[in-house]
Amino acid sequence: MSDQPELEAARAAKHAGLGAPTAVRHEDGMSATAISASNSAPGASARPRLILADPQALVTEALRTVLSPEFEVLDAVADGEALLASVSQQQPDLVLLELSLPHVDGLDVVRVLRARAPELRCLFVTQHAALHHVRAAFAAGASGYVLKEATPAELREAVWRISRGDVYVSPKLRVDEACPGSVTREGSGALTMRQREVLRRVAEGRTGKQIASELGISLKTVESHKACISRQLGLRSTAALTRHAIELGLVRAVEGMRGGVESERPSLRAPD
Amino acid sequence: MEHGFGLGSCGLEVPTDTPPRPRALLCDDHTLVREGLRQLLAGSLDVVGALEDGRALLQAAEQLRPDVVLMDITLPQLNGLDATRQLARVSPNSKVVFVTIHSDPAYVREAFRAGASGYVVKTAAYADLLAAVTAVLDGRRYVSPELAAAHTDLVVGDPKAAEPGKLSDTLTSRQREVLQLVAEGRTAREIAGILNISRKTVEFHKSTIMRLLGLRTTAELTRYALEHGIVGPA
Repeated sequence: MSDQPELEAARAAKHAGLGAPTAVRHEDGMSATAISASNSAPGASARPRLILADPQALVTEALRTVLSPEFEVLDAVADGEALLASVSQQQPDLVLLELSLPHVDGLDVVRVLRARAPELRCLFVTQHAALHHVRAAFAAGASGYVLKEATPAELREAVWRISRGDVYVSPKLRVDEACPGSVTREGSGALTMRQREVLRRVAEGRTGKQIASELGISLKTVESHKACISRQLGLRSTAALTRHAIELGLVRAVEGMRGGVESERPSLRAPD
Repeated sequence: MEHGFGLGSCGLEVPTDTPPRPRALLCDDHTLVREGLRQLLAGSLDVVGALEDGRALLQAAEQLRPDVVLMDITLPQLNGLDATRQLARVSPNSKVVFVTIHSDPAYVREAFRAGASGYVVKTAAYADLLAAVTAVLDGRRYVSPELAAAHTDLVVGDPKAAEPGKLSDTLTSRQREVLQLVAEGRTAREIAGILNISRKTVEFHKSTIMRLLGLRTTAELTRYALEHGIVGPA
């Protein structure tokens, strides 16, 4: 799909910073070519009209329940293709979608929609808490990112803010400014080659000392890499880093007795 | 039939003077999903509690003795499968319906083996969830039609049939509890607090688990727990 000019335009309109807390005006970070946004988005004062997209029908039913009747839910769909079709037909103010969608991935849907309908706002409602996903979402042109562990009140607040032209990120996910580069770096990967080398070895169960000698760097440097990776990914423990490294495909899970379980998990494309 | 009502037929409108509605507990760590389902189910059931982890669920179930428990498999602190095994002790009359993203038949078999009566995938329609509750309260087993069609043995198979090599045979209940908490990145001190045992005992369990599974590091334990559905992806 990347040869479509509208996708390219959407990529050019990447949102630059998400380190700032919730109330950033949407247009601040957007390039002027792709967006003529103003804070008087249509429908901002009336009841916003929404479309929901999640592969799990019970999830969209649950979301519909917590969003009605405050918002008008026009449609609920289970994949990216259906979402694009439904948006064309129904012309909503806002789309709420999961990152991992069948057929057309959530990030690609947002890129297409940003190019097709610049005034349409996209809000991810997802279980994925790793910060590289958050960055990828905003880079694609999303206006908000809410975790499924959020409360209904938080989701409703996010929808109202985004309708008014603000951006919204679940408080738990705000980028830690202490890690240089993590805020401004564009794109989804966010980890450097060296960081990935360290992460893989951590996930393989190597000690800091072993990693230091394998990479020919000091133990202190290894620990600083590890701390930086933790902050950038928003993961606190070695266990969480290990699970993330498996998700990224840096290491394989231990061969298990129950084959095929891993492949059933919702998979996201690896970053980069 | 203990619950003389037709959930499916009466839909969401239950007159107030009918026999008491079934009492349900709900457990899902995604608050948006939990709250949405709670509101939906309140039309047909008496939802007496909505919890976000397996330990809180067990505590609530012991106090409230619900007729039915609807829960996810991947849950913090104590996963749904192990929670179901322990539920048999604290609230033996509660029926369990799993409401989960996992469509792998291995999970379904393990769910029934653990003592569940119903299995609904989250891709199902809401009507399926009500159908599952009606069925299990009626003493029947329920599997989402899309799964049952693809794997006919799931509905009729013997849940106690031997499936050698399963994790539930390799490790004790307490060892699996420790394994999950380790894989969630908790320290020995935190685990000791949660399980109300000493830190030394936690370390002892951890080293026993490593020996039994032939694993050497915490990272390997974590990978193992992930591979076996004891914890979900980070």
